[in-house]
Amino acid sequence: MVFHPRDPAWRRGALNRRELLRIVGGAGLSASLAGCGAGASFATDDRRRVLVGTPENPVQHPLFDDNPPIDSGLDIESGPLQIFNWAEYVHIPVLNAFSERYGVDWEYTTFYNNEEAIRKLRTKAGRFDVYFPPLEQIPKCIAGQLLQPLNHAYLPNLANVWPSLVSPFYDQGARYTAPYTVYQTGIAWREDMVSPDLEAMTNPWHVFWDPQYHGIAGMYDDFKETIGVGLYATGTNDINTADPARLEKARRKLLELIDLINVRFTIDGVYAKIPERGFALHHAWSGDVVQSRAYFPRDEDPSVMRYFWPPRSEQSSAGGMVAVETFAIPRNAEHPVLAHHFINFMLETANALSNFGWIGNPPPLRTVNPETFVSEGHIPPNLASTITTEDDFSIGQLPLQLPPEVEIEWMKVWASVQSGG
Amino acid sequence: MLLFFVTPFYALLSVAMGRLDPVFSSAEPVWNPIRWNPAIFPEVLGELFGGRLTAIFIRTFVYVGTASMLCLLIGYPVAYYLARHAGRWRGLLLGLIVAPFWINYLMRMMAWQNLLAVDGYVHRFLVFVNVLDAPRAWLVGHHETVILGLVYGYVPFLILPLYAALDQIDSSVLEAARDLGAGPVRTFLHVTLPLSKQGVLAGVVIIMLPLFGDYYTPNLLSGSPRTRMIGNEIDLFINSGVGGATGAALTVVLMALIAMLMAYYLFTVMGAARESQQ
Repeated sequence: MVFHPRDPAWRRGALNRRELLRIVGGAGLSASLAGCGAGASFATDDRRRVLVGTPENPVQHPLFDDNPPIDSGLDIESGPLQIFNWAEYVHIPVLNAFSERYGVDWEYTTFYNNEEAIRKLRTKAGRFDVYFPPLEQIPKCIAGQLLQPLNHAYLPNLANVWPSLVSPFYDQGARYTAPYTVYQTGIAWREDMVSPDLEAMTNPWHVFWDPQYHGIAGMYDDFKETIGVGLYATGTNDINTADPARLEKARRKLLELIDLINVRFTIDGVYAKIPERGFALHHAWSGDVVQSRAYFPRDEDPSVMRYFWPPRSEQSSAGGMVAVETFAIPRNAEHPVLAHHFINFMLETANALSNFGWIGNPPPLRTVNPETFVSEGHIPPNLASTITTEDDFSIGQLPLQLPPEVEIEWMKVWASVQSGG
Repeated sequence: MLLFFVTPFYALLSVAMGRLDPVFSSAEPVWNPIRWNPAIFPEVLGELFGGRLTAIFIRTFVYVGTASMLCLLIGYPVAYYLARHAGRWRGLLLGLIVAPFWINYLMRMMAWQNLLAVDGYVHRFLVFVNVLDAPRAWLVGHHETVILGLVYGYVPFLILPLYAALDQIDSSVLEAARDLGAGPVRTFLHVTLPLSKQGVLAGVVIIMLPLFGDYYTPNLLSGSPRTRMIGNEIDLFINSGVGGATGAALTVVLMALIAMLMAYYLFTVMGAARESQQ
């Protein structure tokens, strides 16, 4: 993998064990490095070791005797396929096409946030066949044995995946996960309401500290993402930091926004509120920007939407988050063979593209050409900048799972920012 | 009592003084009280009194106090009218007061979101009748919007017990006051108001309990850090997984404060009961 000069040290592999501990595990906290060239880990016992991979320190998660992959060559169960995912995060016609091909029904259960998803998976009350863990949830799901290993004999379409994600750093050998989508977190705005010149800024994240956007700018109600903006704005691209001084600087910086622009934290600010002029400028997931098209009133023009991802700027050294969402099969799935076929089906180029047109986040498949997304009508020209490519992973930063002691400090910072004090 | 209070409260304490799961980063209850670790409480109290949550804690009290006062100012005349002057319209008017309960609270607040939006009907009307020269951004972090939202949401809960208390006042007592030369204002101040004190207290306590825990009204009508209440912080911590113990401890502290209000109410009610027996 080629690294960009703006990459933080940990991505360039310029860290020793102590520095890596400080960043991923937190100095003085209960983190420890796993052996054999793996990334950081934290846990109470050998069996429940949480392995957190980084691009320079990939991890291969262990297999457990009492949680083997399913055998090859098994018949497909009769279903229904139980899908557990964010609301409206798989295109229904794609699900219906799967249903038609395999002659099974599907049922779709949603969760509101990742914590709720984990809670439901842990209760064993809900028996789901397919779950979609984001990058930072994967280590804990595997260590807690919530997922079963994948049997690649059922997944020939894994060959379609980007070379860098066939055996990704967070799950070497794709033992437990297959990539679903990729996305970035950047800045969205309505061109007919504001005209920020982000290309010219040395740190584009500072746009949120411009008082001309008072009352019309928002950020996500998401502690990892928004503290991340505070970190970027204060000059650090280490978005998984355990350093209290950096977190405190980010906290103070974010608190400035309350008086400066009367910032509001929402989760639907981009896809729902920008179209109805509730915001003109917002911290934005690339997929939300694409989805916003469907929320514009009939008398409004969706082509006014714009999106910018700071790491792509020539003028800026600021970072930006980029991430992967994955497919996985819960350990207690009732229809694991069907689940494997579903994952394979979703990795087929045509199905992945159809799904992309709905959810807005592209599939990380080498069989699709991002340069044709606009010409083939998957997304409009004004949103071409939302397309996440394989190269973006070498210039952006990935949100990783934090050790509990660090995560609670992040939560306290976030509570303070949200309460305005 | 065991099912509806003791068991959930014990579970809350077990989470607040429990442990953090090192794998899932979630608060796990410890059911054996011998193993409880109360360290979270000094930490939470430190945050509330002089720490990062002080501002939000004070704001919550100001919002709840102001909203309760406004509810009382609006609710008392309504309840008084219903009890004394509504006559044959009483049933209909009571029905109209209860009518909003037929619609889910969240749905009503979302309706206000649309009505108060910059391009909403309220703005259009006020601009049309020249009360406003241009639409105002009411939903972007204004204290008054959130407080009025709370008043709108909870005032019926105050009217009903107050109406019941006013309706129970023996009309012969009021007639006796007038026979002894008291005018309407004096009769109200020296007879009706003291006799309705328990109803006022009951109504205020009934609305204060949910007001302290409210978090969706500021979320829906503002979304700004300027207007967050302590309920928002509890919601944030509990739903975060890793902050579950902090959320549970905040809830316990809030319960303790509310319990003081309840104790005052019970003390007053018992005192009034003793007086009536003498």
